[in-house]
Amino acid sequence: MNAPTEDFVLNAAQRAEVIAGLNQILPAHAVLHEVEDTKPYECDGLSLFRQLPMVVALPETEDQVVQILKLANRLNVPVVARGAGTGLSGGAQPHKHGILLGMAKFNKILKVDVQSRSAVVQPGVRNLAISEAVAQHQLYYAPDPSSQIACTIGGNVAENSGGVHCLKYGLTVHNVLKVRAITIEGEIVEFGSEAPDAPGLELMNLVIGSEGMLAVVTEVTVKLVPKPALAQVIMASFDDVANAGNAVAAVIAAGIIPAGLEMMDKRASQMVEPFVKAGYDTEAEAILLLESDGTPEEVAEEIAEMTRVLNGCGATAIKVSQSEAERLKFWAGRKNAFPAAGRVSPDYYCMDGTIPRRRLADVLNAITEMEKKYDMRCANVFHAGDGNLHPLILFDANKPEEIKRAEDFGAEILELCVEVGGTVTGEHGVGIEKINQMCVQFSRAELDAFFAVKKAFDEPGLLNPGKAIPTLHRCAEYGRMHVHGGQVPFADLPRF
Amino acid sequence: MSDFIDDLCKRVELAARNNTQLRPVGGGTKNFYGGPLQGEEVDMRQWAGIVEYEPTELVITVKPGTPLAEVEAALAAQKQELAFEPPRFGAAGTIGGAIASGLAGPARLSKGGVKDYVLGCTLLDGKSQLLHFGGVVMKNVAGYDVSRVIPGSMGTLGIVTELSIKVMPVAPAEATLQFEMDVNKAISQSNEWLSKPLPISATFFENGKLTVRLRGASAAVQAAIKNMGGQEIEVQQAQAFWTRVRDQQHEFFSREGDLWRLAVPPTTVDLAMHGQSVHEWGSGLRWFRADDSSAVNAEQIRAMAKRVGGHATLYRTANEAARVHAFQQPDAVMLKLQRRLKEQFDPAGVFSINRLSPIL
Repeated sequence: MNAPTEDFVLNAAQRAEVIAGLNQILPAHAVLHEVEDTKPYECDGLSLFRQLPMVVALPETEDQVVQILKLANRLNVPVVARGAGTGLSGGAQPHKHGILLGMAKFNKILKVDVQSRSAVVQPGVRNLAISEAVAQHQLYYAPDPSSQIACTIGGNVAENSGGVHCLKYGLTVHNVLKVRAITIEGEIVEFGSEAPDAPGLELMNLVIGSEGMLAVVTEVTVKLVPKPALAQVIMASFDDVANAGNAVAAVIAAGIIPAGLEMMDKRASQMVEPFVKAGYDTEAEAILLLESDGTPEEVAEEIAEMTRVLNGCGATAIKVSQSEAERLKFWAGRKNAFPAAGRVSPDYYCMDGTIPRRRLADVLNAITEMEKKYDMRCANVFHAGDGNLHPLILFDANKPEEIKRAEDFGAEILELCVEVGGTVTGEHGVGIEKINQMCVQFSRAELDAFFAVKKAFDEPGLLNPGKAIPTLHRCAEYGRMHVHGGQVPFADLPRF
Repeated sequence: MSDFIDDLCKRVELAARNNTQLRPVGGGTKNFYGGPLQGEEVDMRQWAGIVEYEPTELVITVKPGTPLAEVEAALAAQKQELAFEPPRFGAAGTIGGAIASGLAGPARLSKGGVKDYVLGCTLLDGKSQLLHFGGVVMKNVAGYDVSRVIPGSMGTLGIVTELSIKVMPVAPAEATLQFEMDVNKAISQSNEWLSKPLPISATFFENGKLTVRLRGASAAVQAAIKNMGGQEIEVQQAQAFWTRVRDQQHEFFSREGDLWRLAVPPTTVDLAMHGQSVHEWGSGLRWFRADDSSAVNAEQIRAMAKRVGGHATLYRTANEAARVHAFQQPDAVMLKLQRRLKEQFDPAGVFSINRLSPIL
């Protein structure tokens, strides 16, 4: 499946000029243009979408990035930046006539400042590597996407990545102090500050989550957080999904913000359990994982209170982790939900909608109905604290007809998320994958405002073109209506 | 669409056509802040009310003209709060003004700034279009996060007509400790504490005295009191103290002369300027008042703030002319990007011209 790339087209002579230009900036081994060399870059974590880049450039200094962007700007060539390629929305999918800018060589932690609780890192540094490097100081970097072993901080900035602990500790945008980046004009600019704020409009908030479309990140200053003395997890079973949803609301109503608050439905826990042996209750319709962290006294107080609330909401079983090993085992099941899906099905398609929590039961019931409609299985894992739902649609990509059905199934889920007042993407980004659903979530004027933001940063539109924001033409072709705040035509008709 | 919004759209259209300017204003309690006031007032107090508040979703949606006190009372009734602890400069202050100014109170240290809590907004732009950005959910990466640029934008990008804000539960326990120490010891000591898992919520340093507020689970607060030492301040007295700090009613703020606000990396040593200063936010925020205002060179203050990686704002002054440069100018590339963004949202230059910078 290829993205439309008719926006920028280069002929053979122009292509040769780009490669010659890159060869002047980089050593020969850092410019790849033979198919066998560029093949590893043809997709990111969303392997359904593939496209070979015209050329791959692998810079290792900021000055090289500056020179490459100036070259691209002069020759009007698209540039797609890429970290570890773990993204799930095709945001790093190459452009057929563009430069794929691999940032993996920017892999150094430049500075750790224990007293100010911050670290300056290059964008190719892995998320988990930051926490590992500062563990000796009892500090860590809080956002922990499931792919944290492999994903890079540059990619996290591009996607505003979350993780299982972001209800309490925030997303990337809450944990980054400063971003140093290069514009398409080759100018160096610093967004944010090590001070509490920066003068004028706080553009860092636009850059984080901009999917590589506004500037290329060369340095990130992250906030480090003191490691809590203790963490414990409650695993609670429910014989009804609605009860589990109500329990989530009740915990929050009790004034508790758990460090992590996750839900898995029966299919998800049954899928995971044989694989991870986490001790999940595979008979329960839903299980909740609730983490408490802090001082031992604080954790004891919170665990007792959460247990009381969960019992009041009809939990059928409650188990509290009694050791660090057991806590990690409880989490291992949740964190391995995606690989487990890959084990029970040839392929799976992961959705990423966010919904107001109170609509959870409605949405899960509707997904069950869609399983019948599309004749496909779907397992649901849910960042319940943030309302971020990850339905995993199980299918077989060797059957082209199944791909289409899985995509339609996914699209219907996302459009339902918008209809109940949510969004098409909570943390994976729009990329190329959800670009059609953007037509549903936003009006034409709003999409034009996004293009206007892009224009302010990248006038020629060369940074990651064709991603995240659909053109008028694309929306017309998709033909779905824009809905806002549940204001669809015939809003009174039951849709569940 | 309501009559108010309908009229507002027409006013924006007219202003754009006639090359006149508009300035949205709530209670006007922050008229002293930022660049000079320019343009015809748009009284947002008529556009008030809580649109939706569901405590278990941790989100409140409000119209910007809603009094801040009304929003905070509704949250308090559910034992929730605006975690960034916005200052109140008078009963007339609105939630719209609190967000647009981007000013946060003592809890900014532990809970983050205003931008960390804005989830979504509806913005009336310079082309008189109503645009919805973000939403009512915690996690949302669809489209650029325009709503998080609104805090601190001082009304320069357009008129916000609705805001969705993340709210947080009120901490069950609170205590305040006081310590005698000199300024550099206070800077290093507060940052040392902040790198430990202690429930530190706010700090205030003045004149050899460091005051620290703890907030969290009662067990955590009790453990921290034992661990940190110092002198515990009686609860009511402490709460009154923090309210005075939040609302800048503390005696320091009412003294004569220009008041400067310096945002610096928190571990920066004392800047040793000739005058009086107090610190908040683990010394990341430093208020400064010169002994002799007439002898102060604004450029020197700004150069010093910049040298250490921060910036300085002429926060309060009796000299109206000096307000043109209330905020420090960002670097050239950043300035260019900010100007281009302003031009995209407000091509005719209708909104709050000069309030944030002479070029915005």
